[in-house]
Amino acid sequence: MKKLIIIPVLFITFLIALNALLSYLNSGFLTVKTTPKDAAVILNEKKGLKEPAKKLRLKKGEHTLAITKEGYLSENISFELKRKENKTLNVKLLKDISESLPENNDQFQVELIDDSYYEVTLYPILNRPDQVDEYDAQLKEFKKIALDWLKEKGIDTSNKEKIKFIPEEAQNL
Amino acid sequence: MLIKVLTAFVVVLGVFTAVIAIVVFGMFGGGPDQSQASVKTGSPNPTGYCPPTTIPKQAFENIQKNTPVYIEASNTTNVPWQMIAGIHFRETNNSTVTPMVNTGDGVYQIVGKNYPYRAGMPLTTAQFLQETIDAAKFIQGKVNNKLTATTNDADLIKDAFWGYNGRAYGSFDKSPYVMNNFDAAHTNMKMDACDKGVCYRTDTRNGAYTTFLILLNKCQV
Repeated sequence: MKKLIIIPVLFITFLIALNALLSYLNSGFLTVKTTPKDAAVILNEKKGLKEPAKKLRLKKGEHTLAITKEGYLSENISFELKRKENKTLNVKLLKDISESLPENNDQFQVELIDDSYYEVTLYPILNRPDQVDEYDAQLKEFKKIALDWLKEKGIDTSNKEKIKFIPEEAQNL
Repeated sequence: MLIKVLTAFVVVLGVFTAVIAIVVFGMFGGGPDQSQASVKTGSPNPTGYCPPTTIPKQAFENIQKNTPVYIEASNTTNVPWQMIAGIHFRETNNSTVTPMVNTGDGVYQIVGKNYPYRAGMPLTTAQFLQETIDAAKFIQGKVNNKLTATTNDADLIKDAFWGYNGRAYGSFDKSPYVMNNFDAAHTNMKMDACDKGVCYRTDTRNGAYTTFLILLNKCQV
């Protein structure tokens, strides 16, 4: 009689173990490092990660992250995790300076676009072809002045994806 | 039978008259000037339109400060004061300080003027007024003195700006100096300027006509 009970229990245990093994084999690992460190990280619009910096096992496939902190611009990221992949995401949130915007002067303008990035328009003067050298010099000079202004406001200006320049030529100056 | 003959005669006469009219007017230009007519119908009256842009804060403050001088020059030359401000914006952001480069051309950058003021020198009101009147007369000269203080002929105004800048780009509509940021089709226009292997630069600043409209229609206060 006892043997009759043990067999199904063993079978169920085997199934559970098999499921766990398959799940493990179909997973990857995610680590999220944020700046600032205490930013809230929401996974797939549901789960808040208590310790995002700790390695987390996730099913392979598409996932989303929303990273937020008061006083900073929120960040939404979509990513794909492959089987056995060990992915680390470094997310630097930019300070929200929307209260100081738009900043607009003779040299540049800064605007917040879609609550997600800063657009910096530079205003070098060019009215005649013989002013082109002056225009190029002003473009560099005004970019530097605009970046200094952003730094002064606490913005990490190394995040090039979040600071877009007009004209585009200024992006890589 | 007689009616049929008369009808045929009238038809032939009508066709003959039409052919003669087409040939004569076509050869001697007796009809309306088509190019002139198309320019007129294609240009909106400047009254009421606000371009989707603003004048930078600092330049706008300069304009407010300079307005009495613009108006005085307008009274002397019949050029709308907002046009003078539009040119002044394009050239030196409405500054009253003698520019560091092309110094002798003054704050309105009139080539060959040879003003005697040193670079970086703030102009007195009298000096600034003189340069403003010179610029306004220069604008008038570009359109045979046709401007009046209340003109609302958009083409005439654009043509005056275009002439001030040397009439490059084939038409005033294609000139960034005149039209930049006027609407979506004229935003951040490319300017011909070759250097270091690149033969264009992007103009981000408002055109003179765009600036003129913002001021005329009080789009920015």
